[in-house]
Amino acid sequence: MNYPVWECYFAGGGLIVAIIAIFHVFVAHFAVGGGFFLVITEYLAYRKKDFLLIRYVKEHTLFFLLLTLVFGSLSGVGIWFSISVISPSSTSTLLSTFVFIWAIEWLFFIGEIISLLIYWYCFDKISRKQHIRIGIVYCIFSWLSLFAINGIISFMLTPGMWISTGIVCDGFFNPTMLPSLGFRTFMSSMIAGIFGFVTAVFVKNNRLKSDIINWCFKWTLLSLIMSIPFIFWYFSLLDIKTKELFIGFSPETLKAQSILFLSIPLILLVLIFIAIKTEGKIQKIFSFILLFMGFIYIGSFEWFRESSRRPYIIPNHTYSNSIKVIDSKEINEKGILKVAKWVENKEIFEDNILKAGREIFNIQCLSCHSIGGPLNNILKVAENFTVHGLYTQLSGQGKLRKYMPPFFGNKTERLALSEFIMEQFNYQCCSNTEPLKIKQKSFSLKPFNESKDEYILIATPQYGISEFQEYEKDWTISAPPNNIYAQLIFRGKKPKIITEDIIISYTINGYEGTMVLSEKQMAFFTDQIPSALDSKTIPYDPLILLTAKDSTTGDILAETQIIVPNLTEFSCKNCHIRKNSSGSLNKIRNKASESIFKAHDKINKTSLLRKSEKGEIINCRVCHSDNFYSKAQKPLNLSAAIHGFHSVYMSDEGNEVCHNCHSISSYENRSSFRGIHKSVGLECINCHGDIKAFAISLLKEELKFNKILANKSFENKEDKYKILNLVNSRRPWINLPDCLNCHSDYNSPDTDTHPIDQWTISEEELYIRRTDKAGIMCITCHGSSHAIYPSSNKLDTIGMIQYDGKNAPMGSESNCKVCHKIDMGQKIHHSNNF
Amino acid sequence: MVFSTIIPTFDFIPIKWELLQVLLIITFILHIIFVNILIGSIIILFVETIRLKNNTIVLIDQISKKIALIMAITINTGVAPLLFLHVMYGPFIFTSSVLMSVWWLSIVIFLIIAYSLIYILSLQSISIVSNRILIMSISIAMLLIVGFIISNNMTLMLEPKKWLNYFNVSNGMLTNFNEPMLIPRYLHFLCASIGIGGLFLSWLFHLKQINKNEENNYKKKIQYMKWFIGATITQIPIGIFFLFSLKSEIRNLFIGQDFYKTFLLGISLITGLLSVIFGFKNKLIWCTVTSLVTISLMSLVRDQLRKTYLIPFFNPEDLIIKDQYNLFILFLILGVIVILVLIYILRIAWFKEKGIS
Repeated sequence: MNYPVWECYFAGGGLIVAIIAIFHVFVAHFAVGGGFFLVITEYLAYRKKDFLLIRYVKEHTLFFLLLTLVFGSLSGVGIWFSISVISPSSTSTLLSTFVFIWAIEWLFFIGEIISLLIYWYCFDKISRKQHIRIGIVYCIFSWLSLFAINGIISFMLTPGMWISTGIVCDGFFNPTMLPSLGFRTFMSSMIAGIFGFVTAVFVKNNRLKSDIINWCFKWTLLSLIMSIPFIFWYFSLLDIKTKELFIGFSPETLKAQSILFLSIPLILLVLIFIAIKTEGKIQKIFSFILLFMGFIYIGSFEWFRESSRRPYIIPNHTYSNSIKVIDSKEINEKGILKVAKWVENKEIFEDNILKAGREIFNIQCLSCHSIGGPLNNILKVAENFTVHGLYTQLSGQGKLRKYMPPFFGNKTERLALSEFIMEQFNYQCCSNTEPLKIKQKSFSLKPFNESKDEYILIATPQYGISEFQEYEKDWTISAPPNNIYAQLIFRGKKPKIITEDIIISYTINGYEGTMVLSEKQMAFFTDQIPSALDSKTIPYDPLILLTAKDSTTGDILAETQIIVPNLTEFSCKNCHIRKNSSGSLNKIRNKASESIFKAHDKINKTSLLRKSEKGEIINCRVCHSDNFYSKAQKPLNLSAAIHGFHSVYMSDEGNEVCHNCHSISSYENRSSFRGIHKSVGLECINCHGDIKAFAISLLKEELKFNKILANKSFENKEDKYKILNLVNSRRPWINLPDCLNCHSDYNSPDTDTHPIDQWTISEEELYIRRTDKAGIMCITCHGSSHAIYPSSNKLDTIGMIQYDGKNAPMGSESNCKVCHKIDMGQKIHHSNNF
Repeated sequence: MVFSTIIPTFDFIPIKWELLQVLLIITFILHIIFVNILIGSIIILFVETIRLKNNTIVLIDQISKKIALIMAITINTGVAPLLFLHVMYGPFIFTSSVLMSVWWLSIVIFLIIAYSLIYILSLQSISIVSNRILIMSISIAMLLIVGFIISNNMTLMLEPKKWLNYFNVSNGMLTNFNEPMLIPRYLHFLCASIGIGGLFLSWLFHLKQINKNEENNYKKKIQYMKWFIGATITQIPIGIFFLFSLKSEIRNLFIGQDFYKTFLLGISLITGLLSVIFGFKNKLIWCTVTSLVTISLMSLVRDQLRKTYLIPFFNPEDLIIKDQYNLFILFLILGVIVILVLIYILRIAWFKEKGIS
């Protein structure tokens, strides 16, 4: 931001630093441990008067000198050069802060190389005592240079008090400095022992070779064992946030930690194998395997350290992309392009959006992500998203999975970045694809003779939203099944709800069933309507024929039909889709589900993709059941999980956010929100609250049972406690918005003023359960929630049209005759009726 | 876009600017001496190998080991001045390094190649002259390229106006070839290297002569001194060329307008001329002393030149100082201790070698 960015997209992600650092770390540690190994071995050889061993030490010294002096110092310079061009801002901070520590380290290093050169050139030329003394000087210098550099490296993970005091010594003597120093000391010693093996296996004299191998075995084993307590000490001191990452939020950290621990027994095994069993060529091969294992041991430790300090370069001070914590507020207020120095596009217009996106990518992403390169390839990360998906992802970045820095900037800049990244795929817009066509069966209304017919049978689906997933073939969210409620009314001046001596049956797509009586509600209901997929997996609107018969005579009393409109716009594909998805719509949808499985597997360590590839239909509710309350180890219920997770990524948006998933398209009037509430201008958040409050209310209920995942789903602790006090907890499908919140005493409210977090207390208060004073269910006259009559989709109201002749609540416009056969004057159903 | 808006903001400095300047100049002098010795002596040996063919093999065998050693020390002495440079001129040097990232990073690769080749040479296992010439020419080319890249960077950092080219070339391949002072500055450095290289080789044979008074050693001593004299005299036209390649307003400061700058340049010219005179008279010690003084004064001139170029863009007085004097003192104390320890072990090695020979 303060500096230009080297646009090296392939090598982005610190590839160059990584390559140089891997070798440098290995050689630099060898430079420390190797000195001790040489001097102690020389001393022992001198005491035993073993001249062959002294010769070995001399030859090993040359090998040691060449490797450490050339590659050690040049790769050290290489690291410095590479970090200074990749992260100039952070390097500048580190150099300015620790300039004298670096300078002191340089003094030690100068001492190190000169003493080593003298040690080598004076071999056999000066007295053994003096020679060993020079060796000791080398050992001291090399260890001191480790001491100096270790303070800075450990600072970069745990800056300790420096963050508040700014005092260099507070940063240098930071919490992990000592365990890190101990670990590195013994690790270097171990690497020296391993290099000892590598040169020893080439020794021709068998007696000498065997002696050196035994000596290296003891040396390496002891060093390895001594390093282990320090690694545990080190881990125990990492702060809580780092631990949180360590426990599982950062996949890389976990991997590195597993490899580190796995390499310990493997090194032991190979070590024993070389020392006891092998000879000749196999021994040589195994010594190189051991060298490789040592490489892995040290590499995984460094990898762990590097990955666990994310999203920072210097914790709580500078993010991985060199943006300073202190600057983040200004950037979010003004926009990154306004604050950054090295950008051409200070403002975003339609014609420069990609150029601006590129500049934002350079500033915020390139230091960790390559484009098409081998390290942290952004194309791999983004391939599962659409532009909108990426845009949404960026808004929640760093909140849940905290190893990523948050996105800095405004919404337009976020969009520009998303556009630029997706442009790399030659992205084809999939988010505007038409919904899956619904097969519509033809039907005619059942007749109703107002003067002759004695009964009316009114049926309503439980939920107005019957969201049908487009991905049913692969997986099913399987919201609670939609049921149908039906009430049979015997018409007359005083109509009766008939519940005895009748059978109400239903027919759907050739399947017949009998409805069950709910005495409490004086209504019949279906157990669960069958899947709305035909044999070719094409969704259709189920046309359901309901017939009420006299149970004794079998005479038909009344017939009606209802259609439960299916919505095919449960729109996961708006965000989740793999790159270059083209072809049939079904194919695109399969790709979307594949990308969701991948994301779920990555974050939650599941294997949904594998199961799906084997043909298993993934049912979300198998794990995310609503019945797992009070079981802390179980996953969250589906509503809490899916809203809790997504709310993090959509929290800064209002009503629009609901429509990301729950469509409001006007396609064949199949919006998931239609009816009178829609037509008077209400939106989802008027009843349900915004996504954040919605999610928190569900998660709060899960928190009562100490569900681990509920805790993790909160963006951060400050938010969590702040919001927890404001939003009431609730259980999905039980504690829902109460109609009486607004319709106080059944009146039409002027405005929507009720608090969003007042829910029905129990199932009994749900709209679906409520009745009027005469026992008529609310839904019987008014229709399902989200499709309250009059509905923009006439399929919702074919029952009303059959009996009342209009797309409106039953008996509206004082048409009491439908049930009462005569006009009525009293408001018996509820106040304010008709 | 206005170039002044893209100059990065400074972090802070740990101690007073002037003290950092002293550290920078002292460590730079130390480094540049080794750089000159390394590049100069290998170039001279290369020319001699071509000229004399087989006759030089023994000579190269004797010296190449020392060159490998000098190269290791050269690289490591370069760390400190670069460190202080980054702290003092961070926004400038970091920026120019990013703009020419590819070239800047390639320095590491070129150095590894050069070092490996010099090391192969020092193993004395290559007896075919043409192979030696090939190895030497590649390693010299690598070292010269490294020097040229550094010159590019050191001049690019001085001119923020040129940084605007970043918006056309952002792939790290920017160079500063069109800078008028680049070539004379580079030649100036190259010529100085040959001179100091000659002086170094002359010293080697001088010491050899002390140990073994042979005619050949004396001849060699004189011969390499001629390299020094020739190269230093050549510096006069190159120096003038360099001076006139500077922007006139800056050049004028060094030729009369600013007393301190003119004085520094004048004195260094005089010491340079003195070193040539001592060279002619074959007074090695005095020649060396005056050369070292010249190098030191020229380093001061170089520092003044940098400061002058950057004066429009920042004022050291305005920089925030975050007090690190305790660490500065610790650095000085440890510096003395390290030097004492090194003197101790060098004495062991020195006396023993003398004793054996």
